[in-house]
Amino acid sequence: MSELNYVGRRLPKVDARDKVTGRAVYINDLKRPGMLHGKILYSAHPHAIVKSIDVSRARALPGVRAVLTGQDIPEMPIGFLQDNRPLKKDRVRTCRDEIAAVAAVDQETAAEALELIRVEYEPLPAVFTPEEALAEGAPLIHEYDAKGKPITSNKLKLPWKLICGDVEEGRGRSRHVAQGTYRTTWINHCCLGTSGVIAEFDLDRNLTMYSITQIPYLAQNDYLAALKAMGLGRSRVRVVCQTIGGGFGSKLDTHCYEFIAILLAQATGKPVKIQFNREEEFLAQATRQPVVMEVSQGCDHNGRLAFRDVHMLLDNGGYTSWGATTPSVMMVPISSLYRVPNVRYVADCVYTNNLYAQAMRGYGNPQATFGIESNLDQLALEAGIDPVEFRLINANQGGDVTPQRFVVKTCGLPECIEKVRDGLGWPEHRKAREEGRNRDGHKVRGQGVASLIHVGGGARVYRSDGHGMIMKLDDFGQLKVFTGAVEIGQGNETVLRQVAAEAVGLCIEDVQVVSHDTDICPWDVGTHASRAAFISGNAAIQCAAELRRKIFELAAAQLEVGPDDLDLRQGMVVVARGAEAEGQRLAVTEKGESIPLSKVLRRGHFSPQGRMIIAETFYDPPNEMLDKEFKGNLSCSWAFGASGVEVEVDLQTGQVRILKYLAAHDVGRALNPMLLEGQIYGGSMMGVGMALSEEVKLERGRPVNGNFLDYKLLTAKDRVPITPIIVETDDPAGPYGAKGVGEPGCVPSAPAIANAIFDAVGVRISELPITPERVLRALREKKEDYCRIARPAC
Amino acid sequence: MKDISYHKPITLEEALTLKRELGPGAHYISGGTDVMVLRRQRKLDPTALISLLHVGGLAGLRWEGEVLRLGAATTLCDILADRGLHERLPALTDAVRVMGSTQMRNVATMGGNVMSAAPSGDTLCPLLCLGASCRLVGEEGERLVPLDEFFVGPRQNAARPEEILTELVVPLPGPRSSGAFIKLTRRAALDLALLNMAVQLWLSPDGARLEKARVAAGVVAPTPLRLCGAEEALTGQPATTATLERAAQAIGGECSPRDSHRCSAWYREEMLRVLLVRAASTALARLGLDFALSGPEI
Repeated sequence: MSELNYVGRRLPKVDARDKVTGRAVYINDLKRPGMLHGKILYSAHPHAIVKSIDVSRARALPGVRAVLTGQDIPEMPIGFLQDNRPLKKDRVRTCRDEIAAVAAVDQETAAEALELIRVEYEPLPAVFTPEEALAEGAPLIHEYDAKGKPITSNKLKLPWKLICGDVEEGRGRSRHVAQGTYRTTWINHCCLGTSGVIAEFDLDRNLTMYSITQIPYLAQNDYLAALKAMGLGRSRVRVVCQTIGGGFGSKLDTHCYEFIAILLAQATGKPVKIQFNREEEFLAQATRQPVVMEVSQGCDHNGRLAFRDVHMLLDNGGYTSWGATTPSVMMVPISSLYRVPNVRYVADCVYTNNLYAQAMRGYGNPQATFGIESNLDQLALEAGIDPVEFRLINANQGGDVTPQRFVVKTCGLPECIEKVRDGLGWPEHRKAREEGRNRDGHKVRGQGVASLIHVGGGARVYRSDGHGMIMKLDDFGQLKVFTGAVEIGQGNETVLRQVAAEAVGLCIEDVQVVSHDTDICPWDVGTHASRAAFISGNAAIQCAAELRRKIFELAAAQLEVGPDDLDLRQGMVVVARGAEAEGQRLAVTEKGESIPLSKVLRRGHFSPQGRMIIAETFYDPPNEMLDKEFKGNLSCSWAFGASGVEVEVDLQTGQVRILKYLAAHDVGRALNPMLLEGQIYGGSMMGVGMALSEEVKLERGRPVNGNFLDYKLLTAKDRVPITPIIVETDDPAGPYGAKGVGEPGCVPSAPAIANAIFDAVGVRISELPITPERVLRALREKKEDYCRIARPAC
Repeated sequence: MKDISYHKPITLEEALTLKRELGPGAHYISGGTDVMVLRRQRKLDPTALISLLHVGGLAGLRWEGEVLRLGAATTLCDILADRGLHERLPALTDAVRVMGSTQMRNVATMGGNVMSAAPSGDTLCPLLCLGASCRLVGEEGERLVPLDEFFVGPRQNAARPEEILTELVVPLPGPRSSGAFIKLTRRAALDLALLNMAVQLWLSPDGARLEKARVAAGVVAPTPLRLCGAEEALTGQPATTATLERAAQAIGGECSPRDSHRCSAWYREEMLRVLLVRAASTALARLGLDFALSGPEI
């Protein structure tokens, strides 16, 4: 590969200055002429019959323009299983159920109107855990499915079952077996920008959605279906995304509030904005799936894994989002993290009267990896093998085909584990621990490691994993790259600019990215699965080849050389090859001479029957859809990583402090190390929050800590000393060798921390978050003599 | 939503007159870090707000012999900016350092924290240990109320509705005394105490014994509380770890920690004893004895 000008450089984000100076327009900032404000009334009960709703006083309030209830809207099922509707009619199933909505001249009036709505409920028995929901006699949360067929159980009819090899055979030949039950909880994405949308119809009843979705084109599809249900089958939909204040998977579904905004806009003939406050964000923004998983794994006398058996219950909550498909991604680590020949995984998603769950960074992988990697440390202990050594024995290698038929072309897992081991000072710590030198008064240090595998080249979870791109050159040599990808803060537009400038051969200053508008940009499946840089990068390379072909064709005619003799470097068309070999005389240019691209373009444009240079492409990676057995090469590239943590556990308080946090990631190639490190810092902090502090606490299905005081999102002052370690494996499938890295940072954090705590004090915390109270209770159960341990010398 | 009128008196008399004229719906406001949050949570529904920030003479520290006069409008960041304060009243600065965030400390005031009378108010335990009093000015004149008698319930204090806290009068504990404060939280900033504790210890002239001890804890009862059992167990005893541990065991019936979604009563009770030993150790370390120091937050 020739020397690169932009790929691999530490360039700051293109939107950074706009964001820090307040110029970026978030949905919160956006106003449309004549805009009204919508507000939603949520259910007072987790499960009830709605006997009556009286909205007459709300309608009469001055400033109110529309009040809608479930009775006022057409049948318009939404959600992955079509089991939800924007406003509920006869029955509520969760405390976040939308009962009525108001559009008014301002937010205060809308809020006041909500208070004037009288709802009469008849409460029903409710269930708040999957176990309760599956118990005999449990109330049915949905009685009919979307097709009107009766439902007989709260268990969703989703076929999550993966069998590879023979688990019983593997169990039979295992010398050592470990098993355990692991629990994770409700976690909110905590996007700093809360949910919001503006729905606006023009006079031809075409809809524009000013949105913050991660999936503009799939959302467009959902909105079109809604319009059809509303009798507007001929209306068009345009989705215009604003600056997005965080995604993390929270915007991979279309949500009730978006459809409510459409309904209110139609009812009033005005643009309607719905903007959540933080309390609403905690109530009505779906969370990460809580899971209960039983994991067992076994190994032979050499420490080689013989089987892995995982059974999982997922709390789906009251309705079904795309998040119900997270078990398909949980299969990734379950089948393919380390070499394990025999795998069984069965997952049941269960309706409860809790809030509902959806996609969140890692798409189930962090939950599954918590179970697998916690359990793996237990197995290492059973087998008497050092946990790092145990992982190296079983690590995936480049060239592997995993039991789920993933084709691993490049694999930096062994290197990641080794670098984390060395960075932690693992052998020194083991020695100190043996000699009791890891204890200082009532504080004890421990180290732990956990690994990850994740899709690194997109994932075919939808029929198309594709990405459309257009490149347009103007008279001045400036390139506009039209992409369907959405920038959610991850830095895709910066990286895409780097890749496009590199691949086309322009100065980066001459490349701009145009995005966020379905009327202008070609289709993309969405910003998810760590795919944006990988897919849009490959699309840019593919599109650039076509663009260069057209440029060289134009320039060749002007310069009287062959197109193959030309190159484009930093915006200059260069005669790269001597044409003498062909025995021709160069008309205007000798080898090594160059002319500005802009000149070539203008000459091409302003000549009789002139032409301009535009190229387009649609890139769909060679990813396979999982077959009926859930096997197939879901992603053409696989990302790996390992985290190593040193903690200090306070024996008297149960508090855990992180002293070292190393995050090694096989990223294929670092397109922009600065942004990459940002992804690792952010992912790691999210993982540490999941491990130690974050939990939406529900009492009878209602959040009791729905604010940033009581929901313990960690702050800058919590100072987790994260050290990113970049491992490059140059993946042949990736743009310049890169793999996706958006999600992996948060995947191995919780098990690495849990393993470090075990290493320090010998208690296994298998339920997240690992609160000081849980640690202290576990320590007490071990019946340690704290006063003795804790007594300082005096 | 109804409008709220906002008033900026510049004298105490004017503030009191406004309060009288605007009636019971009027509420005093200082830094606003509590009032505005309560209003948003609809726990407070004022018709008028009377700002005390512009009233002359309410801000600042004055050292007067054996007493420190702390103006009610002194902000938390003013407290941290005063170096002498940390040397002489470390328990108080320990507490202020871990309150809210820098942005909040820039506007939140000492007087506001005291008047809010939250069971978790971080400055309250150190002030109780120091034997502080508050000067209240009202329609009937001025009075000095010891903080020991000031907190009467969760977010309830002994001030009459129109009374304005003008200053805190803090007796200086002298050179043979030091203190410490510890706050138990789930994160390092922007957090409420799960439990907090302050200790102020006075050594005998020979340095061998604890001549006097004051201990106070928050979030263990409807109000911040002096822990008399622990104080008695410390007083007159040698300054040893054994004494501190006995005092921890002597924390008794006055505490009634509750289960909440923030943490369990069991955990709070366990931590009370840990915090006492650590806070007292830190105070003794500050007096030059060979004890372990703990940070203000754990």
